[in-house]
Amino acid sequence: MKDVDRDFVRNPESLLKGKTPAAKLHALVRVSLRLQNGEFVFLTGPSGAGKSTLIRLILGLDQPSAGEVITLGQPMHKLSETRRRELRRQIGIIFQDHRLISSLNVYENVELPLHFMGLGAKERQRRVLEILETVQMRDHAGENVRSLSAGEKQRVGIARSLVTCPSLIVADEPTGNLDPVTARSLIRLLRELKGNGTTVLIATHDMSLVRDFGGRVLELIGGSVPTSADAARNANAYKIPRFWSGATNPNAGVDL
Amino acid sequence: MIWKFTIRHILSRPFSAFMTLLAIAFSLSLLGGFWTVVENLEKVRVASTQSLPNAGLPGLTVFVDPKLTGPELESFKVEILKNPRFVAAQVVPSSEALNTLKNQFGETLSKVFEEGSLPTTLKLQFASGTLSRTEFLNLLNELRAKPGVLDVDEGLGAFSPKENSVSERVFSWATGLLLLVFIVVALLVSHLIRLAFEAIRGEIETLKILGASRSRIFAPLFLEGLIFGVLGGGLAILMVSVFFRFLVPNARLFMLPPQFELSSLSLGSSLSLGALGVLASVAGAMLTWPLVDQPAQEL
Repeated sequence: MKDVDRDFVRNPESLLKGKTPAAKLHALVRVSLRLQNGEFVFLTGPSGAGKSTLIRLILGLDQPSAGEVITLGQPMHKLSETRRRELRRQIGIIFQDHRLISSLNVYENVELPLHFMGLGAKERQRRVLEILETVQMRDHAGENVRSLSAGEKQRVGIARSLVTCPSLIVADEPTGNLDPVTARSLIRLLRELKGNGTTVLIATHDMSLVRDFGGRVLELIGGSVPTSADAARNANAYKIPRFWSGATNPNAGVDL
Repeated sequence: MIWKFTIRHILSRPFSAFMTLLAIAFSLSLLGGFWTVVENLEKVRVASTQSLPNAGLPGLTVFVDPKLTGPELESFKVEILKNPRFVAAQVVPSSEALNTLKNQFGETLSKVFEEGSLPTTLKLQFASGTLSRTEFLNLLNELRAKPGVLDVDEGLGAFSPKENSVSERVFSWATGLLLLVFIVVALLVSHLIRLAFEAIRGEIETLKILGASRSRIFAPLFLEGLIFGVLGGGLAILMVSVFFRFLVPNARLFMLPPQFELSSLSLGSSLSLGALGVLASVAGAMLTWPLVDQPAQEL
């Protein structure tokens, strides 16, 4: 991601009415970052800092106002919608609210991305059962997802994101609705993927996870990734706890 | 996969699916009911203008100027019989003609006529075959236009112009209304389907984010619309058929003369009704295409 800006019109209706130019909201300002293969990265920052906007850009769900977004070697900002959908099949996406399809059971939900990839029935079955085993949900394979607990649903969501063996996993607040114990077990699972060369990007504002699991931390404040000095100043401005400003790793691996 | 996804989706919300199906069926049966009425009105209209077998008609009575006598009257008969519709023209004796007048106008009125002043009366007999109302009226006009003809008595009420004109007008209005109901029901059904899909907008967004192609998302929606259309159309045909099976005999008893043959919706119209249900539902599914086509909006 290089020199990416993302502006939103604050009052879009004023454009329609032909009034004075609408005020712009700068969600991201000149953000540049590069994720290396096999990196485990936390994307942190307070609410409204631009975490979700950044993730949307990486996934091709939004277009930058300026700059370029390269995802899995492809210029996401230049691709057609069809190509972007194809590219997203190679990315494991984990949502805060798991986003499972309520009419399908656990097995079928996990199987969905494999259908999109066009894999055969045997291969699909092999992968689904294996990944359900990994997330300890194999016994629930035939259950309707509505009968699962929040933690179980999120494990199914993670299984769905891992079943395609993606080289990049993007998780947007994956532990937001989970209790601390379940949250840690899920992050631990994602952390283990680092060994397989999978890049994991987790957006979270749960600083205890950042502290406990370490890894590279990208801190977004006011739509930009601040320098170390800025980070310290902003940390005070936003009253971010001291440990979050790189207590576990002074260099934090933020690539500016 | 598409079938499984579709069936699972329908069964996962049984009440909502049932209500959608019922709403489609009721909308279509409203149209079907109206369609049945219009179809029967058409039958009434046709019945009042249909061709009748000549064998059942009593023939025409032509009143001719009494000055036409002897060879002139004979040549007049020959002239009339040139029309292949008639096989015989017989002069009615004046006493018999007077009796006919008495029967028709009563004793007092018939006294204005005397045997000597009576017009010559000719009884025309139709050839075998059938006669439409239009042909019948044309024949009357032709005869009335002939020189020497004072009047022509049609002598039968088989073709009732008044009844016919009323049903023509009603039929025009009913057909117009039917078209209106047709459009309204088509829009209603298609929007019912679209609304049913609005409920799963979030899931559609998820599928788009996960990288599902447009066709993979749209196929189950299309199939679901098709299933609702087929089931809703079938149910509507059944409801209309059952309803009119009871209504038609009553309509015949109280509203219409027995010569008009009423019935439930014809097979062709029933199939058309079902087809409309399917088409409208599929159109409703097509309305969700922009939702499928546009880039994923939410994360």
